[in-house]
Amino acid sequence: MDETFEIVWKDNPVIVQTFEIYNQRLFRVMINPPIVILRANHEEGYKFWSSMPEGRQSEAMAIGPLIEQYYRSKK
Amino acid sequence: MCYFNGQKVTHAEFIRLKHLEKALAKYDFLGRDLQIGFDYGLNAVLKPIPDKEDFEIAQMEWGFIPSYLKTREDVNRMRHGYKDANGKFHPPITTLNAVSEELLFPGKIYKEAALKRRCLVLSSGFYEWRHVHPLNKRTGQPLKTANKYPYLVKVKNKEYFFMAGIWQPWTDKSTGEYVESFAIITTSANQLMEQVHNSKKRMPAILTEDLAYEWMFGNPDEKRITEIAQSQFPADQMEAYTIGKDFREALDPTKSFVYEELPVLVE
Repeated sequence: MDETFEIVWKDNPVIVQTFEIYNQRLFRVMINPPIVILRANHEEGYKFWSSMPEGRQSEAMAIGPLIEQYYRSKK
Repeated sequence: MCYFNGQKVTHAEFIRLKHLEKALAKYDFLGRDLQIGFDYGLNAVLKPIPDKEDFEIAQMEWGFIPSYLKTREDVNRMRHGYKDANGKFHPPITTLNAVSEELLFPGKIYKEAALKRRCLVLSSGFYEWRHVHPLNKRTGQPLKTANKYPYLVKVKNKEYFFMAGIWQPWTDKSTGEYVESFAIITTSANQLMEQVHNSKKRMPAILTEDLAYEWMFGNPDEKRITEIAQSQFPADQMEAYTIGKDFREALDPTKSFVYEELPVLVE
């Protein structure tokens, strides 16, 4: 189920919208310009945050944990 | 071994990610900036899911397509104007914006959508032109032709905001192409926008979060629809600054540019 929520990015609230393609959950984060990120599988077995398409990895790695934090706070 | 975004991934994961990347490319609007410019491109629009207090983000064409148009050719003729068989030019009809005060007037193409298909248009800012008439050096009178200066207008401390919109489903009768299109509602300009968009003194109907909720999920009667559509976002919560005149072609169209000759806006 797609959902929309907010995270705080650089002191500003930012909307995040989830959606699914081929059973993969993706997150559209409405920073300027917007970025789409997802959890991918590293060769060594752990998960990492990646931008989709490639090219904005550092932002993906910074924003991803904020999304994790949001889900943790929901529990 | 392969790399995706500089991270080591297996071949299978690489293929899966690339496959996703290709699928995602079809969603043109996902990587687009939210700024609203004057075009007929695709934009992110929040559309309510029927019978639910929930919405989806849809990719819609900006420029409301009236139901009476049959084909894409008809749409292009409406948008860009055309010459008929007798050589007479029919000027373009713009449906990017719907005037809030006339939204529900009988016979208006927007009426049914305003009653049944309201949506929110996401924006992180919009562009508008300020007209300044230079003075004739000899007479001191303003010249007829104005100099135009582009502004980027935003809501203070917000990455994005909502504009009231209405949308319309449409199918090309000759090809079967299905398109959803929308128009942004406009209202009279507030104190800031009166100075920026000083040629028309209009602005988009920017909604507070409460009004946005009511616009999407409420059941407003005709009077209330008009009230919300005409709501004027407070000038003191907005900001505007000048940008380069070539902003449409600029790598960063939001970059501030100062025009020495331009009088400052009055707060």
